[in-house]
Amino acid sequence: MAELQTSEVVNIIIIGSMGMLILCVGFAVFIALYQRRMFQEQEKRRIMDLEFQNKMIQLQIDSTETERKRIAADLHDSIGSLLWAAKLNIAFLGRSVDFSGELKDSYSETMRMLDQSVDSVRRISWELTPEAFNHTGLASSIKEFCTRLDGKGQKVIYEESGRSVFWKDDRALMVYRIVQELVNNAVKHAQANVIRVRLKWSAQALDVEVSDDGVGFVLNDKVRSGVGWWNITNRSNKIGAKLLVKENTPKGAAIELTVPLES
Amino acid sequence: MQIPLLIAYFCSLSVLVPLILAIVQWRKLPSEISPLRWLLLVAPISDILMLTLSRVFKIRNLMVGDIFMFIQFSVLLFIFSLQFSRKTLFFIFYSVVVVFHIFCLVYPNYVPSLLIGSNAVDGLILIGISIAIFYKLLNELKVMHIHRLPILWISFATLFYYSGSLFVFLSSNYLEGDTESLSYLWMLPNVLNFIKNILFAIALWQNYRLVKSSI
Amino acid sequence: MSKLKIYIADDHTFVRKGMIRLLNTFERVGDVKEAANGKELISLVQGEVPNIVILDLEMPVMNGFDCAKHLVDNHPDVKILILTMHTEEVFILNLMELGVHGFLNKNAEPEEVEKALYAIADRDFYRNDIINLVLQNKIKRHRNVGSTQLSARELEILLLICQELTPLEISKRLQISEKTFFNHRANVLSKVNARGNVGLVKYAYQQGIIELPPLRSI
Repeated sequence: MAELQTSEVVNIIIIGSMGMLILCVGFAVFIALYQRRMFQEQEKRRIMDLEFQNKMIQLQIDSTETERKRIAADLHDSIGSLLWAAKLNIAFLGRSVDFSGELKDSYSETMRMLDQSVDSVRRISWELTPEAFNHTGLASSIKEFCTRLDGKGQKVIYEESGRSVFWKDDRALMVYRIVQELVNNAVKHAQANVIRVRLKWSAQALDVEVSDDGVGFVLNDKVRSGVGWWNITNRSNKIGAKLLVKENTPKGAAIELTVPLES
Repeated sequence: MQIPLLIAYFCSLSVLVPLILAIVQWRKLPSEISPLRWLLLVAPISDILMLTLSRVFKIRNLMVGDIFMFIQFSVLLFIFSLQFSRKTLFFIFYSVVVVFHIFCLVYPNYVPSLLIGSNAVDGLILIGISIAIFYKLLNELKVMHIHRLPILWISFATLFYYSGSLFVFLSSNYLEGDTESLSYLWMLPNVLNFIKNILFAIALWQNYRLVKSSI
Repeated sequence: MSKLKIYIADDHTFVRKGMIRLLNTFERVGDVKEAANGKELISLVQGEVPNIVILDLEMPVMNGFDCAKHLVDNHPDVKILILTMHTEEVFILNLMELGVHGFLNKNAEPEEVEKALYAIADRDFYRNDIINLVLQNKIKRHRNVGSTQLSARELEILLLICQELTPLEISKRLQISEKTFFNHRANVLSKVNARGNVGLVKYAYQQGIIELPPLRSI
């Protein structure tokens, strides 16, 4: 009887300690399990955040585009027309009254101011959104853009090779925006004398190379990595294009954008 | 002095660790664990009371211990109930336990002798709830580092303490008559109490760190 | 010479009022009426046919392009002068093909407006830098490919038209009656598939019959 009890006591002690041990191990396992699930969850959330962020960027790009179009149209149609009406009236005054001396000077100066204002409105609205992008397509718009900048402090050369495609959808507009941004960057920051924009068409893709003979750029430099570069990378991401810095020296820079023609 | 008694004293003193931590951040404890400070305050009082009763007045009064156990049950149940949105369930649990205890007091003869003076029912309920809390934590994934969450340590302390107590209770019934074994077995609740207090201390310490880091 | 009857269509009241004031200072301009959009203009034209309409492109209800199309189809006698902010080459090219008679930028000098009106009234078209630029940039030239289908006399007439002579001057120079001139012109028009003198200039340039004057920038 006494012997039996001893072994039973031992049993109880073993069972008891086992039970406590299992509890502790269970607790440890619980923490490990929790941490692992947390990590997975975190990863999932991170991916979702990234997707969300991308979506927001896309939306922002889209809304910028519509906004630009709206402002350009407004500028063009309202302010342009009002300036024109003002000019008509001034011209009417000029033809109705014989101005002389100071009055004549004032009249002709006002006329010139109005001319310049209309030109500015036209230029600004064109820079915001090429009015006829839908009609002229990518290549002509880029060409026109280069022509407009050519000779204004630098030479801007436009070259095109391969079988040109008439391309005018939203992706084309994005390409146009990227080129615009790249060339503007070169004009503003690179102190370049010659900027070259080269379009190379092939069956599957369009290569756009923007090169200049300026001072190059530093990607973590505020100006270049700022809004401009952010815009460029996001836009090229949006259209699934590849952006490549081919050359970046103090003697010049070249950036190549490869856009697959079929998305 | 006997070793078991020494251990018992030591284990009773262990409550000072979480108590000091609770006093340090008395007002800064978040509402979801703040009732714990009352429990920690009551524990030494009840120990002292028991000691005085038995030493000075030579009265072996189990009543104080029972009342303390009931307070502990109430506080823990309240703390856990704060974790869930369904308060009715907790009210039902509480009523069941209260009714059971009153029944035991008034009609001891109608209760199976096994359960008289035990906290088996309280323990089972708390074990169930603390497991539910573990499950809930695992499902909700609310915090990055789970070990920093005070409620985790509190529920683990509860789970550990009450399952240990349950084991002691069951085996004490089993070992009835073997005085020597029983006297050793009765040391176990003290050890459990010690572990529980340490776990409470961890919970409060984590809370302290949490508050500090969030400032 | 009878005075010119001119209708203006523009959605901006200020522009219309200003135009009317300016037009009234021109010697040869008589009656001037205004319309706020293409529809109004067409109903005006249906009431009384003018010599020239001055059309804005950007208008509500009915835009200038549709209006011009309607006028060319239904009132071929009405001459159309487009007066617009939109001088993008594509627009101009499309309108040229449609058969309008002249283009002005909404920044033109009053003298140019006057000149354009008279040119359109007398010679059926007004050739300015807008047209020249479009021809130069947009038309692919292929020399002497189809011009052989024109007779010598017709070629002569085409050349003279491109030199911006009036019908009267041309018939005097060629010693033919004005009626004969118009017969020839109609033949040329149908042969080269053009819808007016602007179309003829475009054709002539395309075939390499004429060269463009050096361009001033606009």
